[in-house]
Amino acid sequence: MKIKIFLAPVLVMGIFCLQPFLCYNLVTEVEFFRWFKEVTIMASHVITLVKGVLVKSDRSAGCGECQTSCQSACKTSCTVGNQKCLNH
Amino acid sequence: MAEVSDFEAIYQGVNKNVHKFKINGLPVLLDAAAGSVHLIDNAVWDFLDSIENCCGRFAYALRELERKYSRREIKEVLRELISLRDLGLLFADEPNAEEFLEKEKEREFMVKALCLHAAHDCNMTCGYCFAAEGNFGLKKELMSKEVGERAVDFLLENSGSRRTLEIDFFGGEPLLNFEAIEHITAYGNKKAEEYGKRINFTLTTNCLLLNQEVCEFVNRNKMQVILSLDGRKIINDRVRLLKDGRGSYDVVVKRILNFVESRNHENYYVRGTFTRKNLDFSKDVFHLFDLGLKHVSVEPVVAPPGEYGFYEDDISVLEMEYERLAEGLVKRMLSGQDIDFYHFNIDLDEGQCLSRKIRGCGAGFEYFAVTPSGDIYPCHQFVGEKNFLMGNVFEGIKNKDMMELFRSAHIYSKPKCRECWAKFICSGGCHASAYYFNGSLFEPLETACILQKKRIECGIYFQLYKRFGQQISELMDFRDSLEEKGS
Repeated sequence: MKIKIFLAPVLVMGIFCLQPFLCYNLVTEVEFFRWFKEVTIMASHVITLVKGVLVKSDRSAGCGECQTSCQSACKTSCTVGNQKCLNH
Repeated sequence: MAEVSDFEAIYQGVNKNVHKFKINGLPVLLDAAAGSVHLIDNAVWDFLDSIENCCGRFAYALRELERKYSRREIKEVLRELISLRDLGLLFADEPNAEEFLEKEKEREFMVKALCLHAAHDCNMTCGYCFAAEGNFGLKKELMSKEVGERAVDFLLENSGSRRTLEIDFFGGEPLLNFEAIEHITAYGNKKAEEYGKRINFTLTTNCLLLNQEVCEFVNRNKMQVILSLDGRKIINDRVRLLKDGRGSYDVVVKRILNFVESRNHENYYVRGTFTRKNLDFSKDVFHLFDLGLKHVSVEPVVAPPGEYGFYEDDISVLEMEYERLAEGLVKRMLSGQDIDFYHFNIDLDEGQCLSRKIRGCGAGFEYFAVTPSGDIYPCHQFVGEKNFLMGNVFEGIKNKDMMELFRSAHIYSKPKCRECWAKFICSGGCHASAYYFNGSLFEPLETACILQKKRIECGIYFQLYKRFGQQISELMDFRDSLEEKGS
């Protein structure tokens, strides 16, 4: 009980300090988190759903073990976006 | 405090790899260089719009924005975009491809896949066939066992350090030469084992000869099978005709359903083609899923504008149709149906390495087509083009310059691709389309580009729902309510 009383002012101060960085009040932000746990970065206007890896990738040389695009389900409209890397 | 350089970075980004789009109302921001995907609100949408179209006059863009948004909101948007940039999640630098391409020139060529034309003949007469009803304008013939064996040797001898190789039995209708296919498969498996490698076999068939014996053979050999069917009976039977002029739908559907059942609905694609006779092709895709199929690939016909090929006016109709398709498939998926639509399968997490991203198609330098007589062409769509005859399986590749030409056709050597936001996902498009429609491997077909971009947008939309499910809709509703409160 004593700990809770001690923490109360800290929490209030925390909310007060964080307020300028939050677009909306803390309650809605918490609700926001709860609704969408898998989202990686939470912001007011942009929500990052997939972080991506290309610029960090060190796999530039390519092992060549992946499927050739035209050998799979398409024979006329080549693309690699839908080809999985076999190393992952 | 934002610097002019921050605006510069955003301006460069939105005019290059960063792309925003809405599919069925879902606002998505993609950075194709970083590989990141974001949901954005109207303020970010308008902010990026203004910066994109301001021609570098940032102060003017901000004044325009102030008519709609408060300064506080604009600052918030800017702050978030800059912090995402600092985290490497937006406006990312492109990977250093020049260094990679320099090194690659020193690497030897390694053959990875062959398209074996087991039969230059067909038991159907499809109106739109790019193979001229099976023989590609050459004489009708079947591949002999000897040519097949030699093709396998050619593949293994020239595969360098690659362990996983591919052979696709193609035609015409390859099952007209089933005996040779059986022989080549057994020979390929035996020889691959000797080399310590593995050959994955694929069969592309119109299904007319897909009997019990063939089913058992392809299942035993774990072949991936591509089964041709265009969708609704009325659509399929208008184009895919038997030799006697009757439609093929009834017999083909029966065979396909038996076959997929025999392999537990795995390792196959039912592949259809849509033409300007069915601009409402989403109904055909839905029909295929309604038949109980799980793996479907339907794509636009390769033909000049005309009875089958698309006119420029058709393209916007097709774009809307892709959106309808995406919406319909998401609904089905959310209701629990197993949906695998090949062209919406975009790997959001890892994707391919740089080597594949800059050049999606290996035609002409690591992938070749082999005719029944053993001649080698860059790919199945070049077969019969004398200028593209590269050699044969007995003497190998004679035209090494052509290999170099095809290897040099990548997203950085194609002016249109270099500036395109989709380049790291599309990887430069189809060489054959570029050549046949524009006369150059380095100038992609514009209409194909438009459709490809739309497929990527719809694919990302579909994958987001696949991963996050109904939460996406809930999130957007929630975001809307926040925006209302904020305003």
